[in-house]
Amino acid sequence: MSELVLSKRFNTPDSHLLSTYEADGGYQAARKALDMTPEEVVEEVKKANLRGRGGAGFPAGIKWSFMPKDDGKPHFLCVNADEGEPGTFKDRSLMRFDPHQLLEGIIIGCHAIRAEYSYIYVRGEMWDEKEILWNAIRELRAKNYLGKGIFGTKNNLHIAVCTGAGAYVCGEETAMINSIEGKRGEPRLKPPFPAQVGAFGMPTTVNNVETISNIPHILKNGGEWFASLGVEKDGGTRMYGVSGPVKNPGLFERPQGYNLKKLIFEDAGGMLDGRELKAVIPGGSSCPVLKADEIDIPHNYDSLRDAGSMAGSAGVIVLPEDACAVKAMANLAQFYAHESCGQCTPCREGTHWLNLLIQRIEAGQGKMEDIDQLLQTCKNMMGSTICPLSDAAAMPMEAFVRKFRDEFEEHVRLGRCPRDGRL
Amino acid sequence: MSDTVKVTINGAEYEFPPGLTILQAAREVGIRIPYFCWHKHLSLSGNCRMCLVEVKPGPPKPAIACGTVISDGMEVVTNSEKIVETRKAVLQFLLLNHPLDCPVCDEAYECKLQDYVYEYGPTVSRFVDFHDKKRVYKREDLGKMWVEMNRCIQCTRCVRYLKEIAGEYEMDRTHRGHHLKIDTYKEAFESDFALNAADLCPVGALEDKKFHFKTRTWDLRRGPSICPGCSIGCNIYIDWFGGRIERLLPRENDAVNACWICDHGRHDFDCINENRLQKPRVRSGANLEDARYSDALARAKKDLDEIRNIHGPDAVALLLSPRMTNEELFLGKKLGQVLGTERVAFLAGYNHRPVVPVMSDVLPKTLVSDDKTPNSTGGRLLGIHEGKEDFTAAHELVAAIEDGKVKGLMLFHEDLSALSSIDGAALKKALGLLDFFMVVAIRDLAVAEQAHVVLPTLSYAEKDGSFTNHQKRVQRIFPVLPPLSGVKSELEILTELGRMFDASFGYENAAKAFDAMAAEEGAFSGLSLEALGEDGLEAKEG
Repeated sequence: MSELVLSKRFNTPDSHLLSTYEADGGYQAARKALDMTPEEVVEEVKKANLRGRGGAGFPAGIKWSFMPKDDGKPHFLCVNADEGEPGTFKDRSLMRFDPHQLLEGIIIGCHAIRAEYSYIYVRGEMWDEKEILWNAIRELRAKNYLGKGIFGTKNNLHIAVCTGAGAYVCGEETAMINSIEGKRGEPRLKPPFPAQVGAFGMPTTVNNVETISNIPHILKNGGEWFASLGVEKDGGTRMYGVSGPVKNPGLFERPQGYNLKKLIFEDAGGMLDGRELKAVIPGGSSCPVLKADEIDIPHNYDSLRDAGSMAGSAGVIVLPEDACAVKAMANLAQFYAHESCGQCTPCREGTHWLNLLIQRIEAGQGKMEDIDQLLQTCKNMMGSTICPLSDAAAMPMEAFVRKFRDEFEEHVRLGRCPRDGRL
Repeated sequence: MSDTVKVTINGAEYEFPPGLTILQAAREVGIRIPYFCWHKHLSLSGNCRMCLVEVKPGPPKPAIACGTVISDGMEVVTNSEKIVETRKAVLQFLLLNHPLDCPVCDEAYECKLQDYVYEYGPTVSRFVDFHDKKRVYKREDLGKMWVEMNRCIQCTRCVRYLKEIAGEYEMDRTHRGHHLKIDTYKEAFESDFALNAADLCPVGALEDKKFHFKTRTWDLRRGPSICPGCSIGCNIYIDWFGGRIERLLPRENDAVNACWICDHGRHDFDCINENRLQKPRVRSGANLEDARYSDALARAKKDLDEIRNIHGPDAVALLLSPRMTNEELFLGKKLGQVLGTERVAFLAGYNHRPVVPVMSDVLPKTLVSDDKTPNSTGGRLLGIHEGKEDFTAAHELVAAIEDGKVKGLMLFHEDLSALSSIDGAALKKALGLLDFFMVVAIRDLAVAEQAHVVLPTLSYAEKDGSFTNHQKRVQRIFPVLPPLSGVKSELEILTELGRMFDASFGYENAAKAFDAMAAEEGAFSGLSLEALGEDGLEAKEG
């Protein structure tokens, strides 16, 4: 078992309380960071090779360094806890079992980008996590760790918990900012990027919960230490969520670049009931699927990109041999058709069209041309919209059709689903 | 930083001033980039994805031409295979749920979607065997408009217009994904500027009820004009068919109305189409009988001569109207001089409706003035009116008639009985005292009952001339519609009447009258009708 960083206290009783956290050395990193200049904090995070854990993998330190200095405007740090990607369930545990780790990260992050206000945008369904965060914030206010002059310094910081209303697209940073402002959760055109014009027109940085939760550890143990945990260009550990018919599904904290096959067959205990592995979606539903023989690779941003997929949010979805690939993809297609915000033409109409086509194939009423049409529609949707939701819908579809074309054709030929729609 | 930017578009190098978007730059050099959601007066939305172009340097995916600002050394490709394919795809996505009911759609022939599908679109539908799966909405009645959501392409131009320009939060998007719908919070529109949204609609989703199913747009003929509804003088197009005005549309003029007009002005054309006076009428005993212009004018000459001989020249009065053009007012003033009367009155500014402010900072603050006539300023610049917007002139005139000082009256357009400040019975009695009363109007006025001579005339849509708006901008109107058969304009009536008293009086057309006016009146010096063009020019202070 490798060293645990983020999930170290997950099994400690009362891990959500400030007393437990402080007894374990909590808020020492925040004190240390507040004595440093913002530039020094950003440098430390840059040294750590911390890449954004939301899915895009953008280096966090570089993102922070885009924030303007001395512009006289209020800055905002928005923490993205709108965890909506199917197959992903890491942020929820990070908030539930260790809210103070996140809040300490926010304190340090706000110091680094000179923000006095922070929003935690929590997915609407996560009621318990919101309660926990509210309680944790109350504890901090009582000790003046939040508010005016925190930790006896000149820094002020206020943290608000915002709640989403059930839109996957609000996990996109600009849509989230719109939602925080009380507008329709629709992605904005970029440029301008949030670092110039973000929440309420002010410079804003948006980071994922897991990214921010890593920050206290980087400050406590140093950037080099953090970088050494992972692989080249990918520092630290990663919360891998394994779901599907494996013996031991759940959340595993492993170093960046952990072998995907090892993760499934050793850590998650291998396939349940002696079923065979068919395919793996390595990083949440938006990532192209990998077949069983393609998974003996390290799980990090660059290696998965080379394998034609993405590391995404590290939500590993396992598909067994007796599951119907068409049904699995039809499920996802329905999800994306439901979640498109409807702003851009290719996504609004394309996700719906993909859904109609694949549902028809799954129901056994498809035609052979429909399969090529799926590919054609995916091609037309990719790269032509404001936000990546259109790509997120098209990429897995394209991969499923390419890799399991025989199953699609079998559906059309038989006029029914050969696996009776099993998953 | 240099003051020009070098940009390569489709292999050819051009220089532009900095700050333009690719779309604007391409338009300047005549390269068409198709778009739906972009409009120069609205905020950037970038949601239709029709204007995608390839840009280097930049990310590998195509960029929107409407939202990408040009920079030095940029290479833009608007016609590569990939872009053509993307356009086709966007059109096909849009047609997925479009009802294709062009044969019964008012927008057909003016529809961006229709044009682009003909130009760029695929000829074969890939949407096979899904006919029962199209998204269907019922047509909604929003007061002034029909909303046909089936045709909507969700470009949100109407939403942005109502928010940003009209300042009315009456429309927004509801639902999401392919259920996204443009909807209103209200039963009916209250905004006075809502119908501009129907103009902006690139397809037939928003339809002006007044134009609904009236004509096919390709049958319409079009001419530029000025809205006579108030003193703003919004530039408009008159679209007509078969001698009738079918609709009025805003014509772009950034100095006056940008590209908007109010709904009152837009719908105020029934008086041109219906109930027009067709024939001159002359009183014979208790009745008014149809006559020819020559007979009617001869009667006028005879009666006016009598009055002048008995009561002196000042017993003849003219009541001119701010609905007359600058040239006609000038001739009216000249006629007064020929007749030797001091009594050339002018009834300025009707006052029915309040001013409605417009929200936008970049556009004229108001599109509606409380002066409901187009040419009060012209009257002021010509010196026949002091600039007060009240009805003193009318009251003084009625008092003079009651005192017996005025025996002959020539009234143009203004229905005195419609003025609330004048007592109807007293007016009737006063008009009864007149020995000669001539009314010149385009339709039957209540006061015409007591007239001795009634002369029909042409409306603003049928004659040449100019109006001066509240900013002193002299703007030309054109004879767009063919004139009503046998009806003469005020210019001709005034000229013929003037010639009866002075053989040298008059000018054969509006241009000549304008030239004479420019020579005599300081406010109009240096201008000519030709020079006004379609956009108008500013007059000097008189």
